[in-house]
Amino acid sequence: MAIVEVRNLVKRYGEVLALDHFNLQIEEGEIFGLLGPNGSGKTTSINCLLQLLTYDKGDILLFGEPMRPNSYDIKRRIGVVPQDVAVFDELSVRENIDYFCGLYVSDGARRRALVDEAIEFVGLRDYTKFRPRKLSGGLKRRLNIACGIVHKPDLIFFDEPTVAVDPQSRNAILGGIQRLNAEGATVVYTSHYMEEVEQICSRIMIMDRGESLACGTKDDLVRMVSTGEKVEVEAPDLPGGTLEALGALPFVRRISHDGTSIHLLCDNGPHNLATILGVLQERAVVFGRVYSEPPTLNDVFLEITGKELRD
Amino acid sequence: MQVFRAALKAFFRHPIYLLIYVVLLSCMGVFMGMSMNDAPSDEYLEWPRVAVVDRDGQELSQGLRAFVLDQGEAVEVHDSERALQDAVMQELASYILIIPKGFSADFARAAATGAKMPEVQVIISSQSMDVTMMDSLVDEYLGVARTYTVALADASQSEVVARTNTAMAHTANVSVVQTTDAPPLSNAFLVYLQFEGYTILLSIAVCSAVVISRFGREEMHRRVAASPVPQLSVNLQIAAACLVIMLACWAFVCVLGLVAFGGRIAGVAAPVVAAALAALLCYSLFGLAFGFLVGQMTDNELVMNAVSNITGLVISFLGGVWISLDLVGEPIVTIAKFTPVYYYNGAIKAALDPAGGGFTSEALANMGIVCLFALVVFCIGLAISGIRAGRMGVWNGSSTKQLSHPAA
Repeated sequence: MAIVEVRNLVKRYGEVLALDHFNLQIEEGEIFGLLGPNGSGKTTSINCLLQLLTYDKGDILLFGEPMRPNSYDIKRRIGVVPQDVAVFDELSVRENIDYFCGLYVSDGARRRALVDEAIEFVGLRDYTKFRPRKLSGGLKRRLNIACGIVHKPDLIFFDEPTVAVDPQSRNAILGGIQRLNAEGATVVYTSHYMEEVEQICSRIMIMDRGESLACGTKDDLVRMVSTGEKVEVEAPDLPGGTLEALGALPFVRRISHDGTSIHLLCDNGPHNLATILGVLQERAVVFGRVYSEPPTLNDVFLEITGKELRD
Repeated sequence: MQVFRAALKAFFRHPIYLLIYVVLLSCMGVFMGMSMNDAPSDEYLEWPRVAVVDRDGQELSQGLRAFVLDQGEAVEVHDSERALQDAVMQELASYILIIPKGFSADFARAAATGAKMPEVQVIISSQSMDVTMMDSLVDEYLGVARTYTVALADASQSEVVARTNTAMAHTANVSVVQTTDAPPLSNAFLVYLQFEGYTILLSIAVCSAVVISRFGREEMHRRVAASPVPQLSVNLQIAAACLVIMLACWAFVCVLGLVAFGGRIAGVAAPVVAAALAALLCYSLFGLAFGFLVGQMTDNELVMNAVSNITGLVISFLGGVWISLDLVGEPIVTIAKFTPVYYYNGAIKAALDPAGGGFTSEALANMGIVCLFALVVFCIGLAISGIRAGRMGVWNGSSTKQLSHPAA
């Protein structure tokens, strides 16, 4: 069942076209990654989905129902973890989580249980009486997440939740998102850290300039692009004709030697490395370390968007 | 009520604002009020040392001379420039009247023809109440003399002088009668309330701006807007919290004033005091509206404090808290009329008027104008809120802008 369905969404900021006939479909139980450079329209699309921004054209359906600013029953099932930490500096960790839980759950006893659960979930048990300004950046991020997920939503939007956090906190956050998903929540995750998206998302959409450029699993995306396997062989001394022999292999697209290593860019194939090493052995080339790297999401991104990630 | 509770919690986590703006400034108002003396003055008007130089020597001038010397402590001064200067500089005489030659004849002629009356010359050493009084008596003497000259066309100058002297000799007996209903009202309490206008404006503006700005931050706004609580409910809860803060500040100032000045207003009728405090409540509404405006403009506490303080000081100056408006120029008074503090002062003065205070039409009218100021400022705040939401493209449930849903 499609939890999120967006059809031909158009959003303009004055003359700037932020979303250009944007389409999106997210199935129940997915961790869906929205990947794109800054200004690509990730946050705008989420804000439109949540009815926090007006938009010019398009249809948005959440849980199969049209989403409106006053669709309070739908909003009750949604959790939002915004990009910037949005908590009250004056309230303690527990009070903050309780406040945001109270927006969704009115029953006091149930709220207390949910708050305790959220505190445990994000590992803030030792900080419940702390004010946010006393917390480190990573702990603040965890508090931000606790405030967004405390009411146990069915659909959670994470808008770049790991910006400016240390690797330990980042791993804790990503692990937490996977646990939430395992408990049944559908997750929409925006980021411009490709390794994160690669690590946790079941499907990924690459967007830029308000458009969806590609969408699918990581393997789908890799298959979409022509970038292939990268092979590096440490071989300082090459007998004459070796590079030519390697370059003549049908799957080799580019070859170079920098004095210490041979660099090959190959089409995707199951036996590329074995064939290359076979040629080297035939020519009695002494080689050291060998690296083989399949195409990464970064390669996909660069090929699709034609640019480096901005910012 | 989650938002309401959070707003109040956020407010009470700023005890320094409560301490400085509400408690300390209110206490300052108490000290200012207490410095005013409400007891009847034991001071009496001292008559000035007067000298008259009669260069005319006619019956009218002689009559005027005798009258003036009779009203003050007579001092002899020679009719020379040097002697006159010495008399003034050495304060031998504080009031010197010079009657020019031909004054009596000119006076009679002017009275008969309706022409401009001739003037006497006056030299004063320092402007004080007794000198002002003497000047006024001279004007009155000449005015009476002119009336007799006109009325008794055939009368001689000596007859005019005689009748004028007789008329000027009449005095009215004046006494202060203390009634049980309306004793003289406390000037100290009035000064306290005037100063508390500053306290109320500053404290309510800063405290409510802090609360409003907490919820107005873009990320916070979006997070709350994504929740199932309607935006209208959120806004009403924030407004209710600010209203509670406003009432708490107002109540504190009122209770402090009643405790500090209870003895001085013990005999004052309850409606009179209630009207004065109601005026303060109206002014509190203006403070709340101003806080709302500031809260819409910035979420930087430093800027909030700066704007509120500077505005509070300027408005208080225009309201005569620091310098009485009687002592400033007409342009300042004109500017003050465009501020609510002018009407707030009008309301409390009318409410505490010994000649019949309380909820008089004048007091109520002034309170109404203060409330209108609050309404205008609140509307400006709403407009700024709407403009901000429009610029962000944010759907703002509190504004009239509706989402244009093609699908709807």
